[in-house]
Formats: sequence, structure tokens, C-alpha cells
Amino acid sequence: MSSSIEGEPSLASSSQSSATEPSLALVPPTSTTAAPSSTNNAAPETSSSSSLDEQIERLKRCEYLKENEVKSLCLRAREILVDEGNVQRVDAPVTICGDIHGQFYDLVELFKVGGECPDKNYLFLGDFVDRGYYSVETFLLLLALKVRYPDRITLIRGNHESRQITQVYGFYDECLRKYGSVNVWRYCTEIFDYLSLSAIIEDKIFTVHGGLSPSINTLDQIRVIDRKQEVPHDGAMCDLMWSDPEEIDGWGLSPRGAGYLFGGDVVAMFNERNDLDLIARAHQLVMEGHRSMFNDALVTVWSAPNYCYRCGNVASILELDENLGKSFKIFDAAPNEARGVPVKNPPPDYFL
Amino acid sequence: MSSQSKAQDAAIIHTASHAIQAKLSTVQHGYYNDPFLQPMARGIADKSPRTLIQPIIRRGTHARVVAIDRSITSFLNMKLESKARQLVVLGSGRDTSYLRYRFGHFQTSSTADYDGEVRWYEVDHSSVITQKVFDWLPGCIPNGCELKRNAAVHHSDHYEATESYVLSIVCDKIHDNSKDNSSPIQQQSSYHLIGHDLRHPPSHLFHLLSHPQHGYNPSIPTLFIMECVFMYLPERSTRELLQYISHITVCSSSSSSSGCNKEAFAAVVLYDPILNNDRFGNVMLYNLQKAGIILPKRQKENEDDDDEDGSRLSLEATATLSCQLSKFIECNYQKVVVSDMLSAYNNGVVQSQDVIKATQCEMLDELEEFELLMRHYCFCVAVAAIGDDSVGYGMVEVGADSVMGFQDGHCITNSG
Amino acid sequence: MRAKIPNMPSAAETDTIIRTPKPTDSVMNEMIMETAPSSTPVVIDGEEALRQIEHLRSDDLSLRISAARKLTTISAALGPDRTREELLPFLSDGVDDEDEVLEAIAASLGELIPFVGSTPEKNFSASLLGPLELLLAVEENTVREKAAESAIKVANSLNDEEYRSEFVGMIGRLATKEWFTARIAGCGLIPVAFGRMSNELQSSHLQYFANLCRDDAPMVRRIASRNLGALIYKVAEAMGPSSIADNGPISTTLLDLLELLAGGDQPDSVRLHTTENCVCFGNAMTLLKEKADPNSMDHNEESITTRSNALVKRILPLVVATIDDRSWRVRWTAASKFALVVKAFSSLNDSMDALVPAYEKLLQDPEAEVRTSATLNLAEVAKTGSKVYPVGWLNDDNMDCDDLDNRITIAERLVQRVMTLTEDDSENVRAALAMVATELAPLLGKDITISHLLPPMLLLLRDSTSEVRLNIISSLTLLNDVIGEELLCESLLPAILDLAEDGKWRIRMAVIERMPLLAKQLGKDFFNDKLLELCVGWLGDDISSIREAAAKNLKELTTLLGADWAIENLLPRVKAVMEHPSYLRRTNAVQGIVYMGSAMDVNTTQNEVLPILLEMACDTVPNVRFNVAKGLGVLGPSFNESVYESQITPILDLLNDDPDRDVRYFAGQTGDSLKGVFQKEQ
Repeated sequence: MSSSIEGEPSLASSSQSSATEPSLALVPPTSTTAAPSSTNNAAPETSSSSSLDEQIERLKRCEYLKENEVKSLCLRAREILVDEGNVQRVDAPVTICGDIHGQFYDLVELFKVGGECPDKNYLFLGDFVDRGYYSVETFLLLLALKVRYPDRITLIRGNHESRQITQVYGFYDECLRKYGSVNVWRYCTEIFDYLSLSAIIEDKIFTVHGGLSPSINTLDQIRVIDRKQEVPHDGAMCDLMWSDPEEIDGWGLSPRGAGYLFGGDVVAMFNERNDLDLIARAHQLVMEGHRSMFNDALVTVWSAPNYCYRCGNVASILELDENLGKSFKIFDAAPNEARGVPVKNPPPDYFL
Repeated sequence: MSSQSKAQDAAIIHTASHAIQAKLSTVQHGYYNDPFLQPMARGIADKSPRTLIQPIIRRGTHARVVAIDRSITSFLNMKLESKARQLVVLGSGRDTSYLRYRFGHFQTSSTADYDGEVRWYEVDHSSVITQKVFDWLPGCIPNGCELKRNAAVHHSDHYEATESYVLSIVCDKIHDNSKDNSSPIQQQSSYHLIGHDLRHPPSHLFHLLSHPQHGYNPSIPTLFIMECVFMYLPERSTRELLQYISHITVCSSSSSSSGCNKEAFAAVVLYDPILNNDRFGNVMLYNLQKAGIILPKRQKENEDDDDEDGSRLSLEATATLSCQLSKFIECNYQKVVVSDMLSAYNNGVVQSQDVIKATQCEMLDELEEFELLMRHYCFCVAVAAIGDDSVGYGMVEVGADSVMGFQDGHCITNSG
Repeated sequence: MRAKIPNMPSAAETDTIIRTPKPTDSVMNEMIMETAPSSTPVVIDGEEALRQIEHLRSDDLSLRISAARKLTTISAALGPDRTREELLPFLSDGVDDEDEVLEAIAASLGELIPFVGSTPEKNFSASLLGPLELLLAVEENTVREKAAESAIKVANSLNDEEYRSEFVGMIGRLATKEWFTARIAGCGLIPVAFGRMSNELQSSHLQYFANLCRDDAPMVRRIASRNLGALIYKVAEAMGPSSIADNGPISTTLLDLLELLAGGDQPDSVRLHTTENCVCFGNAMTLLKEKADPNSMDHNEESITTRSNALVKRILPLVVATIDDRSWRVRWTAASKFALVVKAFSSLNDSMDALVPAYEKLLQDPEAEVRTSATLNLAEVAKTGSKVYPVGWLNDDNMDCDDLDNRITIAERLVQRVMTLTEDDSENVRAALAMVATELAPLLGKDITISHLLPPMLLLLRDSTSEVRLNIISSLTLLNDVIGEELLCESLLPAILDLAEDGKWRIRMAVIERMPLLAKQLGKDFFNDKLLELCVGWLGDDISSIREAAAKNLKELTTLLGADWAIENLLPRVKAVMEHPSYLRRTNAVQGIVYMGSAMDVNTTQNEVLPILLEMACDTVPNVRFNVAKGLGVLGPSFNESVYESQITPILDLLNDDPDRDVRYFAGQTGDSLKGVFQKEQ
């Protein structure tokens, strides 16, 4: 599989680049965008906000972008994301969302419940892709919104924003199926490397996809991670995306095979040391949409209703007002009539 | 038969392809070994586009194979006076258990001990059986071995004619794990494939099984294996089948005058989804209907069927573990143990070395979903026998000595 | 596998032909020239054709399919002679291919009519029937359907003589073939071709059809049953009154078949079509009556009526029998088509006295699906103009009495069932009832509506299921029109209040969407008293979509009830929401006030709305501020220039210097668009 990926065009340069090399800083984006395009002279590659608005409208109808549009979108996204910190500062009010996993129509439902971007501010905790039928549309919509309204929406990285995982859980195959090549997958996975690792809201609420790491005691330790790489198999960056809270003391081995389990005492100490009120994270399916643990020191937010079209769970988003007042909004999967033209998607898997 | 129910039959039969694809992927990821899967999957891989089997399905498939295998091994290893055993795999599809048994993949005390005294039956739609005999099995036979077949066609006044086959795999001594002196005659009687629609009365099935060629004998200890078979059948058919099995077993052991009859028993191993009347179960039902595997009521063929309850699918009618338990009891099984697959996985039925093996094979991101999915499958073992001290009850023991690994507090039984 | 056909033109041969077009093929070549885009038209199309020919023989299924869809390209390149002599035989030899390929071929063959050539003496389209006949016999249903469509296209291009010899001849062969799928195809085509058959062929093909109805294979009987109604109609159309003469085919053969296929010993999939066949029969009888010329032969018309009535007497028991069928699918079909049944028989005397009681039975069927389906037809059945005896009237004693005074309308009879239906166990039945029952009101008139329809409707308004209540609220207009709103208002209110707080947000949304209508129907006072609070309350709903809909709703209400009313009643409440601690509410309130302003006269907007809007430009949250900027873009153009310069521009300038880039962006957008408006005016 990897051999078919090698040699495909990447964002960094149209000819050669290794998948994990953080080469973007060296190659000014303009060098690629300025390259004369034989196919598309009419449309300048650096689309204006109006063409971006038009792309967002298309994506909202669940139509995916052309390959060259994805490329230029990703280039613009990179410029924005490269300036964000590993612990990105976010202002309240903001609405926190958990895993989406390619469930495009449920993301549309989420916006119906929480309000459209940019009218409302959003913070997504990662896992945009894999599992659902529309990872491409889902991620590109969120990315297009990010490029269009960088201050209104924040995207941080989940453990599925990874080359390795997306080849197992569907995003890779979806790109191949929808575009006939893996170029779009390449563009997107390169952008994954630029996504922030965590966010902090008004210095009080720490948000991350998975959880804490035994090698991280302070937020500053996160700030010094060189994040522009594939998610490693272990270490602090891996743990932030893979770990789970558990009713234990201290640290435990994670049954997922990556990251750790961490207990209430760990959370209490981390919050104390970093002067935090709350850790908000996603990563774990919660049938009720959200779950608080450790005397409300940590909350799990799950935003993929009827996860994998199979689990029957409800989803939630966490609305924080300007005074950090919390309010969960629960929602169900979008009804069939809100799912547009029925497409023949493979049925969810069971043991048969 | 209408084209609609025909299409649904095709969809059900197709689930066998799905099952083997899942198994194939599981083997390819190193969870367990089964050299017969690849040839048995003939015609599947190239026909359907690249289907993505996800880790959750591999891990669950591994658990299912390991649990069923354990029941087979435990059954074969039971210490009984007679070595004679019968195994009946219902809805066998592309199942490879016989081949794995035949070529020594099961850890039985010694395969050779049973040679000629183990009769292995597979039952499925006639069309599946025929394909298996002619298209799939030949590729599974190792070099130096030869597949021999005897066919019989059974005509019936009530049903379409069905075919059945007696197969034997004859090997050079080098390739044959079975010890010398195994006479061809004994070999010939070992592997039987029977074409039968399980919606038809069980009497018809047992009529075929008891045909002199196949020689099924209810007074010999028998293991019935039903993996994802009942779910597609009307509740009434499944109950009739369970009752029929317990009935002929008990009758044979009480009526026989020979001394060996107290060893007669039938053990039923059932692996099936349970809807649990919750949201996950509702979604499962909806998805299976949408996939055309089961029909929603509106489209159901009402073949002059006035018994609404009996015509409900077993999947819907037997929706919880305790329903499964009471169903076996109501069908006259003396000892029953039921467990959901999550308990089976975490507490004993799936042995810890297998769990460790699985975690080593790949990481599993979707833990919560795995647990949810496994809670919606059941693993049941039920035994029909006469008396309180039948040796057959060994299959359903619970506790530290349980041959199946059932642990107190992690399964439900009918004996307190 | 494709290479086995020897006389298929090879690529090389075709190549030569394409490159040196024969003058006789001029028509075809002109076509190629015209459609080809560039300076070497023949070669380009020829290459495409060659590629497609190769693809037809490819081992790759998807290539064969795509080539099979482009037979016209190939034929155009080959020319008519070689199409007939080589391509068609090649296709005929390939009917063992995959179904997808066959389906594409079957569809394409219908497009080939212009490509097989025709001379003044001879039309060669019939040659296409060769491969089609084979495709009409294959096992896959979709292939046969496509082949049938194409065969009919081909047949329509034939003159009568060819039509009869080639097309009808083919149908005869199909109908008598040994393999049952061919006979199935025959079942479908006999009714299609019947009209253009000679008398002789008509009678032979009626016989074929009769045989198909008695076929051993139930699959064939099922398709025959499905087509029987169409055939009856075609026979009536083609033969006119003679078809129902004592020795006519309808009276003799076809009704027998209808009875045969409706028989209890048939599988339910065969019986399933009884209802539809009876509808076709009714339509056929109506057709005959309409066609009878009242001027020329009065007695003839009367005899048609007499005869058709006699036949109807035979048919009605079949319809009635479907109601009692043991298969619920048969009953369900009857229920879902019952309005059609009633319509088809409405012009036939007395049939309603049998049909309406049958329909009432469907409304009480043990299966909820059947009852739902029947209930959905309630209004349509009632709309049939005929009259019926009241319940219990028709018995042996007064059978012959045809006293119209004793009869009532169907609506009057059916309204008596409505109360029972409101108590149905199935919420689907009640939801269906709530959807259609009010349509009875105009049929019943005010008095009966009040006495018989209103009470059950009030029950539905209190139903436990929200969908039922929503349906009834949506369909109340008809009831209002008949009885006036006063009677309803008091009962309506609790239902609306309940739905307004339904847990499902889509239900609440549906209620909001109905608010303007309710305001219109119920009047300002009632609205002020009871519904105003609701409408404003939704601005504070948890769900963003509801708040947005509530904001939009303010515009509708302002338009409907007037600016003064809105200033007095809505504005204070919206202003209160603007002080809500959460920006989620405040943004929607800003949107709401803009909506209101857009429905007011300029002065009111300027005096009442604009100051409040401008005030919000200083909100602490950027999202609120840029919504102010957006709102100014909406309302701005209606103001005069002095307002623009003195009030709007300063605020826009402020927003243009906002620390937030989105606020600056939207302020800039609005500034630009307003500049455009006001500069033009100067």
C-alpha cells in the first residue's frame, strides 16, 4: 500500500516529498500555487473568500470538491494552522464538539442544533474522519470553515487524523473511491500534521482529544512538542490523542493498545498545577452523549449520534457561554429525510 | 417462491460470504490459523469490491471462532465409554471446521482415536451444499489427498428435491495425520453434506440424516452447532428444531435396550445476535432489514401463515439472554448455560491466551463499540439427556472445572 | 470469452471501412461528420467505435457494459448492412453474458432503429427483434423489462403488416416457449400489441393469454394476473361494445380468467393483483359507456348498460372477497387502492352498496398496516358522488326498493366510523386519520360536521402521539372553513401548547411554521391572548434552528398583524432577549429584529428598530456585532440618505475598526453594498 502512495503529488511540492517530512516550512506556499497550471488557468488557485463561500455551500450539500480545489484549500489551511500553538488559545463563548467520524449529515444536524458557523463559535476535538460514509465531505467542510473563519472555529487533532489509522478505518479508501487516486488523502493527511494538539479556553478549560500523558505535567510541556509529524506510537503526543480517564488511582495500561488510562487523582493534580477548572475531551463513545467524571473535573463529549450507523447512541455538544457557563445540547441522528438523496452505502457490519 | 423472498434467501446465503470474508481478514491479521479459508472463499474476493473489514469485526470474529472451536474440542475430548461422536453444523455455509478437524488442527487428545467413529454433518440450502461440494471443497484438498464423493437425490412429496453427499478425503499416508489402519469404509462415512431448508420441518431433516448412507443415530452423543442461523429463521421453526432434537435424543436413550444408552445426549451450541430491546438492538434490526437480510413486516411474504407469533423471526422473538434460556428450557433441555459474548470474551470461555493474542495482533480503537457489539451476541450451550447424571452435562458445567470455561457470575444457567 | 464469435468484424477490417467511407453509406457518414467535433471527424468517431467493438469482446465486465451502452456509436461506424449482418448476430450469440451487459444491450437495441437502415420498399427495424426476442427470454427480470421497452419502440416503427408478422409473431412464440421466463415476457406484451392485431390474431393471442393464466408455473400466473387488467381495458378499447356482447371476449374468456386468478387456491402473489384488475375492469366499462354514441342508437347504449351491469355483478364479489382474503398483503393492496376501486365503479349503479360496506370492513381490519392504508383513502372514497343506503338498511326485504330518498352520501355514512378510528391502537392509523378526516367537512356541511366530525377531531387534538396532533392542526383549515373558528379555538389551544414544548425539535419546528396560518385563522385577539408568548418564547429555545425559525416567524407575524402590533407586542419581548447573558440568544434576537424591521414601513423601522439594532453594535461578543453589520446590510437600503450618513455610517466605521476580523469583514461588505445603493441615488 505504501508504495502506491510514494511518488504521488503532495502539498509541499508537486514532484517529491516524503509523507511525514515537515517540508512545508521550507517551501513557500506561493512556489506551488504560482506554478502555472495547465488545466485551470481561468481560476486563480488562491481562491477569494467568495469562491470559498461557494465551496462551503457545495460542501454543505454534501458535494465534494475537485482535487485541485482540495489542494488549494489545504494550502491555505496550512498557512493558518502553522501559526496555531500546540495549546491553542480559544475565547469563550464557544461550543465544544467531540468525534464526528465522517457522519456528514449528523454534522449538519449538529449545526442545526448548535447554530451555523460563523454565527456561533466552535471547537472540534478531532476524529473528523474514518468510520462514517462521508469523511471527505466532513473534513473538507470543517477545513473550509476554518480557512474562511479562522477565529470562529478551532480544529484540534484526534487519533484518527493519522496516516496509519485512516488506512485501516476508511478515510483512505473513501478518498481512493471518490477521487480515483490517493492525492486528496495525501493533501488531507499532510494537513493533519498541522492541526493543533489541544486548546485552552479562557485559561480555565483544557480541551484535548484523548486525555493526559504521564510525560506531561504542565501545559508548557505540551507547547514544546514538535507536532508536525505523523501521530507517534507512544510518547506525549500519542497519549494526548489516545488516553482515557478511568476510575482508578494513578496510571494504567490502555486496552486500546496506545495511550494510558488515568485516574481522578491524576486529573486533580493536573488541574491544580495548571490552574484549570475542567478538562473537556472526546474519544470515547458515550451512549448518553456526554459524561462527567471525577467530581466534574473532566467531561467527555461525544458528537456522533448512532455512531457507525450502528450504536443507537445520542450525541451532544457542550455550549460554553461568555462566562463559561456550561450547557449540554443532546441530539439524535439526522432523520432519513434530512439525509439527501439516498445513496447505496454498504450496510454497517455485524457478525453474520 | 416469489422473487422477493428469493432475493432475501440470496441475501441470507450471502451472509456466509460475509462471514468467511471476516474470517479471512481475521486470519490474515494473524489472529488464528486456518489454511482452508482462502480456497473456501473461492469466488468471493474477486467478485465484491475491496470491502473494509474493521478491527472490531476481526476481534469479534476471532472470539466467535475460538468459542465455537472450544465447544468442538471439549465435545471430542469428553471421556466417554464409546468413541463414537456426531457433529451437526446447521447452516454451515463455507464453514471449514471439518477440514481443520480432519487435518489435525483441533487439539483433540488424538484425532486418530475418533477416525471413523466421528460423523460430521453439514446442513444448508441445497444450492449452497452443491457449490460447496463442487466449487469450494476441491480447492481445499491438499496435494496428495483426494476428495471422493457419493451423491444422493432425495425427492419429497412436499418440497423441492434436495441433494446430499457423502464425502471422503483419502490421502497418502505421509499427508494423512490419521494413523494407519484407517479403513476406507470408515473414512467414507465421516463427512456428510445435506441439502435442507431449515424452515422445513425438522422431521424432514432427520429423515435425510438417518438415511442409510448418512447413518445418523440419535443414541450417539451429538453436538449441534448453530452459528448465526436461528436469527434468520421463524421462531416456530427454531423451536420445532430444538424440540425435535431433544425429543429424539431422549426417546432413543430411553427406548434403547442396550447398555450404552445413558451416554446418549445432544449438546446444542448456539451463537446468535440478541437485540436486548435497546437502542443498539433496534438499530441492528433496522440495518438488517435495510440490507435485505431480514424483511420488515410490510413486505413479508404471508405464505398462508396465520400464526403471527411463530412467523416472527427468532431474532425478534428471542431478544434477550433470558429469552434464550427459557426457550431451551421450554424445548426440554435439561441443562442450559447462556452468556453474552462480552462475558464469554472477558471471563473464561475465550481463554486468556487468545485474548492476549488478539491484543498483540492489532490495536483496537473502538473499545466501547466492541463491548456494545459483543453484548448483543449470545453464546449458549444446552444439553438434552435423560436423568440427572448424564455425562453430557459435562458440556454445561460452570465454575473452575468447566470444560467450556463458563464462570460463576458471568453466565446464566437453569440450575440456580 | 468474447472472442468466440467468428463473424464479428475485427478491428482491422472496421478500421479500413471507416477510413474509406463508401458513398452508399452517405447518410450515416454525414451523421458522423456532423457530430464529430474536429477536422478529422471520420477517423475520430471510427476510433471510438473500434474501441467500443474491442470493449464488447473484453474480459473486463465494466468495459463490456460501457460498450453495450454505446451500440449506436458502433452501428454508426459499421453502417446499416454490417450492423444487421454482423453486429446483431454477434449480440444474439452473447445472451449468456452477465446481466448488467445484457441490460445495457437490451436498452441500446431500442436506440438502433435509425441505424439498421431502411429503403422505400423495406424497413429493416424488425431485424432488431431477433436479439430482443432472445433477451426477452433471459432469466433476469430487469433485462427482460429493458428488452420489452426496446421491442415496443421497434414495433412502433413498423407498418401494420410488419407489426403483425414480426412483432405479434414474436409475442406468440414467447407466449408458448418452454422456458417460463419467455412466457412471462409474453404476458406483458400481449396487452400492448392487442390493439394492432388482426381479428384472427386477437383471438389466437387471447387464447395464448388464457393459457398463460392457467400456466403450471405460479410465476407466470402471477405476471399474467398483473397484466390481465390491462388486457381487459385494451380489449374493450379495441373491440368496443362487441367485447361485452354475450359471445364477446370479456364476457366469455376474460372474466373467467379474472375469477380464476382471484381464486382462493391461487398463491397470494397471484391474488394480489385482483384489486387492480377489478379497477381496470371498472375503467373499461366506463370507457364503453362513454364511447357509446347516445344520439345514434339509444337502445344500444341501454344494452351496454344492461350488459355491463350484469358483468359488474360478477366482478363485485371478487372485490369484496379481497377484503376478507386470508393474506394481509392482499387486503393491504385492496386498502391502498380502494379509492381507485370506488372511482372505477362509481358510475355503475348500485355498486356502492357492496363496496362501501367492504371498505368499512377494511377500516376494521386486524392488521394496523391495512387500517392505515384504508384510512388514508377515507376522504377520496367519500368524495365519490354516489349515494348509499345507511348502515342496516339493505336487507332482503327492501332489496328491490330503489328509493333514493332513503340513501345518504358516502361521506355521511363513513363519518360514523371516524370516532372508532380515533380510538385505534395504532398511532399510524390515527395519524392517517388526522391527516385526511377534515376533508370530510366540506362534503358533510356544517350541521353534520358539528354533530359528527368535530367531536372525534377534538379527540385527535388531545391524542397521546405528537404526530397525530400535528397532523390535525395542519389540516384544520377545512374544518374552520365549514364551522368557523370559534368552535375550535378552545380545544385547539391545549394541543398547540403541548406541541410547542414537544421533546422533538422537529415537531416544535413544524408548529412554528404553522403559526402564521393559525394567527390568520384565529384572529389577532386570540393570538395575543394565547400564542404570542409561545412565539416569543421560542427565541429562547435550546435548539438553534428553533430560535432561527422563531426569528423568521417574527417577520411573518409582523406582516400579518401589522407594524403597530409588532412594536407593541413583539418588540419589548425581543429587547428583553437582547439582554440575555448568552450570545446564543442575543445573536438570534438581532436576527429577529432585523426580520421584523424588514416587514415594516421605513419610518417605523427607522424609529423603532434601527436604534435598538445600532445599540447592539457594542455587544461584547463579536458574533453579535457582525450580525448587526449583516442586519444593517438588510435594512440599510430602505432608509434615506441622511439616516444612512448620520446613523449607519458611524456605526459601520466603528465596526470597520473592530478587533475581530469577521466583524470587520461583514462591516466592510455592508459598507460596500450600501455605498453602492446610496451613490446611485445621488
